Amino acid sequence: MVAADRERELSRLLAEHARPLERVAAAYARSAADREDLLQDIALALWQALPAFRGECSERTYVLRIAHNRAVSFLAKRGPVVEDVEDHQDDVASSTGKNPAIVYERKERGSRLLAAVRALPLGHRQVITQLLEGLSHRDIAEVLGTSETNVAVRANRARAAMRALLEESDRT
Amino acid sequence: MSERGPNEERSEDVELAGWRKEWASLGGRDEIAKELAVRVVKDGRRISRGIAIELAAGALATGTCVWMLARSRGELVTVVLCAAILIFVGVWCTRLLTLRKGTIAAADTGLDAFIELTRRRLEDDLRWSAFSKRAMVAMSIFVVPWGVWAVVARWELYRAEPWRAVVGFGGAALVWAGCYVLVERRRVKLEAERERFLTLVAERTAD
Repeated sequence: MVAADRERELSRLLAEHARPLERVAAAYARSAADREDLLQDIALALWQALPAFRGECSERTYVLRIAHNRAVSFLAKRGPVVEDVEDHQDDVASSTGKNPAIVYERKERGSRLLAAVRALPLGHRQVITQLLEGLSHRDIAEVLGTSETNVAVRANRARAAMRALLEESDRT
Repeated sequence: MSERGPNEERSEDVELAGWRKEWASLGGRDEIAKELAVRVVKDGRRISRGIAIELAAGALATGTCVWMLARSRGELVTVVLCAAILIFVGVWCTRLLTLRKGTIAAADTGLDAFIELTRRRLEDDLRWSAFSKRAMVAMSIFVVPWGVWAVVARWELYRAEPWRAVVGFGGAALVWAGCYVLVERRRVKLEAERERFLTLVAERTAD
């Protein structure tokens, strides 16, 4: 693929999948600056991965796979996102017994769903974000490089955790 | 793990569908918020400018009426015409300020506030253009008979120098027709802009 074609293709991919990519970034990075950094990382990874795409899976699955892999690397590089919550321990100290991530997000007036997703452990978060993007268990298994059975088990646990977090959020 | 009944599975699907809908509404909000923030500021300036121009026009009309009244020495037709114009200017300015109240500047920040403010401003613009059209028709009810009276009263002068009537009344008629066409064109453009805005908001902020 020549550079100009690759650039056009990248622009098209970024435009067509802008919203799912923004949501993935939001699930893994809380601040606007971090989301911006993560989106740039994802764009770079897409640029590098484009020539290797042979159409073995759908384009959407391919883009999300790269985005999720980059997001995990991003977290490993930056440290866990709960750092933000820890920075605001004083703000959430009054809510003894509540999940601090949920309390923090509610204070920030963010989406309760996004708050719950961010509060999930990484393994659950990976599955639930893709489930929320409308991917099937098979697609998620492809993205994560695991079996469908494993995805189904993780999805059930992730959904149960989400339900609990949302209920907690409603009570907060 | 316990066996799940069909009802539980169905309710889980409904639950997932609800989550997906909420999730899908998240992307794109930052971008549209930035665009709307710029638009809100620009619209705010345009509205302030518009109000200043309308009030200046009102002041000019009031000044002209006072001058005409001073010159007329109580001539009934002129007094009635000026009274009508002054009432019209009063109604015009009151309507303008009432309509724009609370939308001249953004009172809040955030996407939802900007969407609501922009939607209200577009609605107000449409109401204002409908009011302008009605007001122009209402004003012509007073102005046309006055024009007829003016021609009759100065018949000899206009017969001797018809260009005065042509330039005076023809020019006024052209200005009136031009304003009416402009107001109507603006209304059509505003309708289209409102449709575009509502579609854009629906596309970018909802599933």
